[in-house]
Amino acid sequence: MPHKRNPIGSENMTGMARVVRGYMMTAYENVSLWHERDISHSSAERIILPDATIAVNYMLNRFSNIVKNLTVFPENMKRNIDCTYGVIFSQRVLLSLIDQGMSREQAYDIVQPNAMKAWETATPFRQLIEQEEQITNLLSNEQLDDCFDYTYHLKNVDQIFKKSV
Amino acid sequence: MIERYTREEMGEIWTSENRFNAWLEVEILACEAWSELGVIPKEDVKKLRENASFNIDRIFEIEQETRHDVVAFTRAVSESLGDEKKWVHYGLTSTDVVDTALSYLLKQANVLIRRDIVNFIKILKEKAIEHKNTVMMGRTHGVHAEPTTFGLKMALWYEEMKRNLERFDAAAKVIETGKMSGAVGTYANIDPYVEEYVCEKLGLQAAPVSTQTLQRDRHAQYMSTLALVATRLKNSQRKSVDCKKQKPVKSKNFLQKVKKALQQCRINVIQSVQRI
Repeated sequence: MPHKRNPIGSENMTGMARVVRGYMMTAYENVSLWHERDISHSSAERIILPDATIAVNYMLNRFSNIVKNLTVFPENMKRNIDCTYGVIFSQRVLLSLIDQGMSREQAYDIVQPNAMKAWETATPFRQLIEQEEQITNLLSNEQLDDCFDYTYHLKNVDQIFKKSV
Repeated sequence: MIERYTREEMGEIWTSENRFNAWLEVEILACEAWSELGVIPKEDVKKLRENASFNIDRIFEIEQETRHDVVAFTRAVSESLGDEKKWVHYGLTSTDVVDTALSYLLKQANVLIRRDIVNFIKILKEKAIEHKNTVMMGRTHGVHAEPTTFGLKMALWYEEMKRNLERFDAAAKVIETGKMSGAVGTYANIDPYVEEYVCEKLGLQAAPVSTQTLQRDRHAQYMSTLALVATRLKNSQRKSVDCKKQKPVKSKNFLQKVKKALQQCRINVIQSVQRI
């Protein structure tokens, strides 16, 4: 099919990894030999040791190449965040309402039905809650902007990177 | 392994020629050790080192009769020698040669695999830094949860491959071990010095205690580590496939509605590039 670009390189890895795990099971079967030796392990090892090292060498090279040349579409990834109508920000709206003095139960009872409605009617979640007076009375437009700001979730990324990369 | 998946450099390690070369090296080193112990005359060892060789076809030909590959090998090697041939395989049991040489071959393979893991880690690190702030959807149970970044996913993977490198180094140390302890591991017909000498020359550890063989927990640990490395190469592609799949689902319940909504986005997040 001309419109498709299939991840066959990655799927090739999936199959080969199955083979290597199978070889691992054979290696475990080889651990128990009789007394000071029997030769049951020998035939198996003639296959599994060369094959596993050859497979892993091949996989690491092929997959390193795939990752190195990965085409990433940041704009599509960002757009993907919005494709669930902003319901992923419902938790922050809920917490902000609690911060402004609403009870958890009351906040949940307003936020949750609107989140469901957003799903079911394919309507932006923000548009729905802006029609809820109980919410707009407590949260200003700026506060709502803050609730729907994805960068809030990324504020500790630097710190995580400092521990690793 | 079929040719399709065999890279030349690794394939060369597992050829019959390279395997017999490893056997020959173990045999000659053993003679050198016996010579240092005063058992084999120096001039004989010199001749063995200079002249011992084999013809692969001849080994296979002899094996047709002997039905034993090590016997066929030592006989073929003996055909390349004069009277000093009497010392070939002196005091050894077949597995002293086969197991020690196998570890020596794995040591050669490990140089390549280690290099490949290190290279992969380097690529993951570069990708993590490049996409540190590339925001994307984080998912739990396959469904949108909270935003994260693609760089974080790469950093997670980078850390895991660093752990795999540590595991690999540990497993390589365990497998890069030789044994020359005789038929049941008691050194009845061989001086323990031979094992010490041969292993040291090959860059292997000598097994403190062995039977006729090296114990196979060593090989099992090694294979587990390779399987874990391979598994992670496999698992990571789930992300790229999951993020782009667009399978239509009939909406039956809420979760399915969620999935359907996601699938309707029809957005290819990551393109896993085809490389043949």
